[in-house]
Amino acid sequence: MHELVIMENILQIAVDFAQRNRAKEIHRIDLAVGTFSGIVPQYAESFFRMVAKGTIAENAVLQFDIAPAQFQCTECGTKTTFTSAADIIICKNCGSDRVRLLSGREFRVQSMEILEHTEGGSDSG
Amino acid sequence: MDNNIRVIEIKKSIYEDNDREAACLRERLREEKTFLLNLMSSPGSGKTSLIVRTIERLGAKRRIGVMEADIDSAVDAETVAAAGAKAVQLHTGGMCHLDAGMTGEGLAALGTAGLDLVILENVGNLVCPAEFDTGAFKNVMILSVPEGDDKPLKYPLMFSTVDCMIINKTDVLPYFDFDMEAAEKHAKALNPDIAIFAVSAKTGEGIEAWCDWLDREVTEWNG
Repeated sequence: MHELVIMENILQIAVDFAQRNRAKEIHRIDLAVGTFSGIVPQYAESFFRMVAKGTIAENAVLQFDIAPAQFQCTECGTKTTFTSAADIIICKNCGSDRVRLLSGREFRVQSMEILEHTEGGSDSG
Repeated sequence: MDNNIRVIEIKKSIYEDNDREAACLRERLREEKTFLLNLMSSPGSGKTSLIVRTIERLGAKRRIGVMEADIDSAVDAETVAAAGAKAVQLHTGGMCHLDAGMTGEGLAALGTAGLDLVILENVGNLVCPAEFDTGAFKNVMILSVPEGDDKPLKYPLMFSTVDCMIINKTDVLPYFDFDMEAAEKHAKALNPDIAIFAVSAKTGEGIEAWCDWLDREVTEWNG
């Protein structure tokens, strides 16, 4: 629902780093999205297109890398990994549903591909 | 002029700036000995009524402030002020949640000097508020009986991030197919440490246990 705000954050992070690296254009932004982050890539993508219009990220491709979620059972301690938020979340060892989320909520800008701008000069060949 | 394609590492969380701001806010509130409670729920689940009951019960002992983040109207702030707490209405301009920056602005408008407890009534929504740290020390949500006992299954993030769930409107239990045990089981499956209180803000049933819990938390925070 607030993908718009989140996409503004991503754009800001991407443009900040791009400027520091004297980028002319951002080709691709790699995002790490936890299975339980609550982010829907297709909505995120459409909001990004809106906010990025007219910026150096306008044509950037968004690459969503979905990170699995890990839960730990509070009864037997076993860690179970899930790759879908629609899965039934129970411990794979003892079947208990009293499990604690360890990871899977993250949403990070991992890296990006930029077109670098190098000033022509006597040393540019 | 040369053009060169390069991949740069960033590894920065989308929530990093907000999380940092929230941590600063929490630190400042700890020094000021003001406990901040973030109260979340769907619209119409009884946040304002619960706040009024809480003020009635704890108001003599604690100096309470309330920040109302309803999208429009000043009705909620007026209701709360009438119950005897210091209140401000935050106008979020249609935002679906509050973040640490907006909470900080609200606290400045409220003026926290001398307040033991500030209750932030977040925007009525079970999705977005769960994703942003407001700087609160405890996060509490209300699930009201008419909403149904299956809500934890539909909004897992909200139920897994809060410290406490209040099941409100127990006075209408006879009229709804709400299974109290199922609601608790679903919530505990997502969040084994969650504290759960069943209350009726209308009749006052269960308010004492909730307020005792809150009062203990405030004491622990304020030292």
